Amino acid sequence: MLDNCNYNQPQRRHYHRRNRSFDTMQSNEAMNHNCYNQNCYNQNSNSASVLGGITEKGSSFMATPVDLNNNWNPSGMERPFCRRKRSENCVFQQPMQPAQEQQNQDMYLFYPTDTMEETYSEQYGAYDYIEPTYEVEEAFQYYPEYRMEETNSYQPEMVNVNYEVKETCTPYGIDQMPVGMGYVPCQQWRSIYEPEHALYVGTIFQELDLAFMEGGCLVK
Amino acid sequence: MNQNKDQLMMVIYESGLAAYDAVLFLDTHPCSQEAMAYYQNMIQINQNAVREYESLYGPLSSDRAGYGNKWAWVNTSWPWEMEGC
Repeated sequence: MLDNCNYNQPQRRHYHRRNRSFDTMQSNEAMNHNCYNQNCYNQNSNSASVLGGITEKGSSFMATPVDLNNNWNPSGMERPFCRRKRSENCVFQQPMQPAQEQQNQDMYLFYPTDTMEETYSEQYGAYDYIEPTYEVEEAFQYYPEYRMEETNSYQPEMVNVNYEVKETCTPYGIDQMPVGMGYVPCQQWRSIYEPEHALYVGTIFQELDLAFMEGGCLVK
Repeated sequence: MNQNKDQLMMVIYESGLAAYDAVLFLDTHPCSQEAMAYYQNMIQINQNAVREYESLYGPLSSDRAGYGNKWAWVNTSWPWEMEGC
C-alpha cells in the first residue's frame, strides 16, 4: 500500500466528456497520478508523454476505473498501465463496497498510452468504449460553457453545503469543508466580572462567558 | 466586619473562583501585573474570609481541623446534612 511517491503534488483536474463534467483528482487518485508519473509510466513505457493530454489517437487510450469517492481501482484490479508487480511501488488495490460497484461501473478515466493497450487487453480483456480525458484548460477550449463549473462534479452539493455553513454556522458537513489553519487569539486581561457575577457564570472573564450551544460558535 | 455564615461562605466561594481563574490566566501570562494584583487581592479576601468563618463556625477543611486538643472536623455539619451543603 505504501510507496515512495510524492503525495503532495497539486491535484490534477480532468474534463470527463462522457459525463460532461469535471473530475477532481484527489487522494488516492492523485497519489496514483504522481506514482504513475514518477515510478511507472516514464520508466516502463515509451508511449505518449503527457498524462491526460488531448490526444486523438483512439486506440492509444487506456481505460482505468475511478469511483465516486475518488478511490483508485474500484473494481479491485491493478492499475493496468503500471507494469510493476504489486509488491513494488505504485501498484495497490483499494477494496470497494458492493453498493458502489454498480454506481461506478461505467465511470472511467482514460489515459493516453501506446504500449499499454496490449498489456491491458491481455490482462483484463478487450474494451470497446474509448474516450479521452482532457486537461481542464484544454477542455475549456472545446467546452467553454463549463468554465463556471469548477466544482467536484461528483459531489456538486459541496458548494451549497459550504455556503450554508457560513450562513448558519452549523457544524454539519465539517468533513466536506476545506482544510485550513486554526488560530486562537491570545487572551487579554480585560472586562473582568465582579466576583459575585463571576461565580454565577463560572468565569471572571467576560470574553470567556460564552453560550455553549449545539452547533458552536455562538457568542453570548 | 461581621457577616453571617452564608454571606461569609459566599465570599469564600466568589473570591476562591476569582483567584483560581486568575491563576489560569497567570499560567499563560506570568508577567501580567494586572492579573497578579487581582490574584493577590482575591487571595487576601479569601484568606480573610476563611479565617473569619473558621473562627466562628469551625474548620472548612480537615487540614485546619487539628489545632487544639480536639479534632474539630466533626463539630461542623457533614455534607449530607443540609446545613453543610
